Amino acid sequence: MTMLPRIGLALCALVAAPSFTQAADGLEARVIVKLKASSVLKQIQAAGRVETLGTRMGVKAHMVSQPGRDLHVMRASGLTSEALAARLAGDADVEYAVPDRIKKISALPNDPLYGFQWYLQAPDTTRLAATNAQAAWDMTSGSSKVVVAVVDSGVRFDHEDLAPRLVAGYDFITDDLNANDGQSGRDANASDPGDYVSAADRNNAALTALCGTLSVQGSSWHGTQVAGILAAETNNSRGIAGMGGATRVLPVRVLGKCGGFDSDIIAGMRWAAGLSVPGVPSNPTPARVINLSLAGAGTCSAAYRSAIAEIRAAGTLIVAAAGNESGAVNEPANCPGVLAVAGIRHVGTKVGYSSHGVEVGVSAPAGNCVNVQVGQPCLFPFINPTNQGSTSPTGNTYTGTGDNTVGTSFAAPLVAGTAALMLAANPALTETDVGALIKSSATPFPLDSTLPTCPLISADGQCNCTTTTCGAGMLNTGSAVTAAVAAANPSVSIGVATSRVVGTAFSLDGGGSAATGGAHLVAWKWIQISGPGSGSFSSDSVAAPSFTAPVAGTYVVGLTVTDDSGRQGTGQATFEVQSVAAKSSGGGGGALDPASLMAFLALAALATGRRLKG
Amino acid sequence: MTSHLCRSGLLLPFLLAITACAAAPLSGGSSRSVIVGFTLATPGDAPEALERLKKAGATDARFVSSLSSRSHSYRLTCPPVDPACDKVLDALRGQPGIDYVSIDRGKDSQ
Repeated sequence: MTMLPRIGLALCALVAAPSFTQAADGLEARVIVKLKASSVLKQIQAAGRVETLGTRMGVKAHMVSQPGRDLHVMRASGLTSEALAARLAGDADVEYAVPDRIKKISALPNDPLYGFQWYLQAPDTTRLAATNAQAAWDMTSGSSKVVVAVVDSGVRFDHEDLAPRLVAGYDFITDDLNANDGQSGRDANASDPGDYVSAADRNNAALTALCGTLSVQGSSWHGTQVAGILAAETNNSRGIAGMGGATRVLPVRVLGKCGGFDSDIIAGMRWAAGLSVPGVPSNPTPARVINLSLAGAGTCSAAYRSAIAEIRAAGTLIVAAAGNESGAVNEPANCPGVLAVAGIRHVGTKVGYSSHGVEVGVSAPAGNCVNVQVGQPCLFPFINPTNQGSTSPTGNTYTGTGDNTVGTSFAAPLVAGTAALMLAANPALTETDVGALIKSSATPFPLDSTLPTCPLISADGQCNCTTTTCGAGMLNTGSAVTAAVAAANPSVSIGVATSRVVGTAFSLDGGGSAATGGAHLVAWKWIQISGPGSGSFSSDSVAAPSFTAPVAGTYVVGLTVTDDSGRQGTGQATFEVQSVAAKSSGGGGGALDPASLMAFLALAALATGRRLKG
Repeated sequence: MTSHLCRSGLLLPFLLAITACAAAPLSGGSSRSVIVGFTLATPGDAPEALERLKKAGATDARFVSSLSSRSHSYRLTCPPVDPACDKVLDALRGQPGIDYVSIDRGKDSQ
């Protein structure tokens, strides 16, 4: 082609084509986007913010509504909601961006006590710390293939809200007085016979030699409560909803009268992860997550360090309560490799009793009562399955809506349940992935100007959390599952030929894109997102098409790939097209030549790629 | 849930209580519950394993349970001159073939 026809074509293109082009593929995106508090976009009107964000994303966007001060619903054509949300999530001004999905009334669980489970619901101005599990349940209802071990006091297998979710566990309590189950040593019955301490127990020399001074108290049914937070059957028109949906619980009994020994806890942890314990049958249902709602003072011992390393190597995530001592994080939450969970109040500040420190990975609601006077109900407790028996078990029930049911014990299973949902959504995640995504998706801590900053605490132990005292932020189950889903989507890599001249086809290469978890890519979709003229692809549905640009200038093209599970990934590449061939290119066509292969690969590395939900 | 052990510790005089929750094993007197990690797989209740514990100075050593093929818990009885078993534990840690020795502490629901 001579120069004159080229210029002519370019002029025609400039006149005929809009400066902004987009492939008409019928897709419509609808996304909820929230700006960061520090965003400079807040200085302009809402509609302008959306348009500016759209321009940055390479799409023409307009605002649908503004449900909150910094919250906008935006629409754009030519890509999926997931793709647009994924692009927006990487913008420096955006706090979060999520697809604006259609909800059905049935999305909310029909469990009658669900209304009292504020910690599972979407956060609002009063309950900033709520985990938004509701949003996660729209993405996954959990999986019965994911097993979470509750290493605790055992469970009531006959609790009707829990029974469908339980698998057979094991009782690791060695000492018969500690076990209180009438059986000798460790056994295959993980049911909770009660951990009460009676007046007779208090006077039992053998038990006091084991436990030290004892106080008379009733049974806690602690393991049943923890297991219920984690996986009570949801949508069964009964009791409460569990965080983990269809997740199954492996009860491992290690706590009895006066607590439990490290030796039994560690043995139970190892067995839960599928590791062998001498004298105990192998575990047929190894857990991907271990929940430890137990703690004791002291630094992390070598025994815990050794076992935790083995358990993590087996691929099992360990989640542990930070402790209720208000001070330093307790063992085993303070051990390296454990995802330690501190407790926060409904408003997101550290709850007075929660231990805190640099070892904490994330914070979650732990229950708080708010200015309770004598005779007044607790305002923000947990509602858990339990048993009515004050000593031995009787009828099953739930803790009261005004009871003082609080503790970091109850924050930990919210995190463990979130991990289970993430693994249901993306089974390929490693335990390291899950922990990292829970942290990176956490919501930043709010600030209460009337409170000191942790580790300084008020008279009742409260403080404003920081990332060095309460972990990465407040557990956000909705965002964590979104991140898990996104990580399952294909990655996109776009290579662009080094020689790019107007009117001459040159190569694009999406062949470096890849599916995850054993899936395979089955479809490619190329679009031109922007440019001074409307270019053409040799085919818009192959991995490596050629592209012809009619006008010199900067072009942006996008590629969406789809795997055989329907998951999608999207990426885009920006490149310049010259009006004449550069001398170094030899003046030839733009097709990829062997001599420029290395430069091609280098350019490919510059192309941006993202994963998104399909 | 308040720790049973700590709750009981609050009733003790300050000097006794200050460290009771942090380090006290569930056992008392001149005995200690410990977890011993061996460098190689070792049957926990084998006579030679128990003999090694006695060689470290314990007047008696009783196998309690296994955590793994290389780690087991024991109840050590120590001489009156070593009521906290400190010397026995130090001697045990110095033995070849012993990876670690940890106190078998108590934990409680939170």
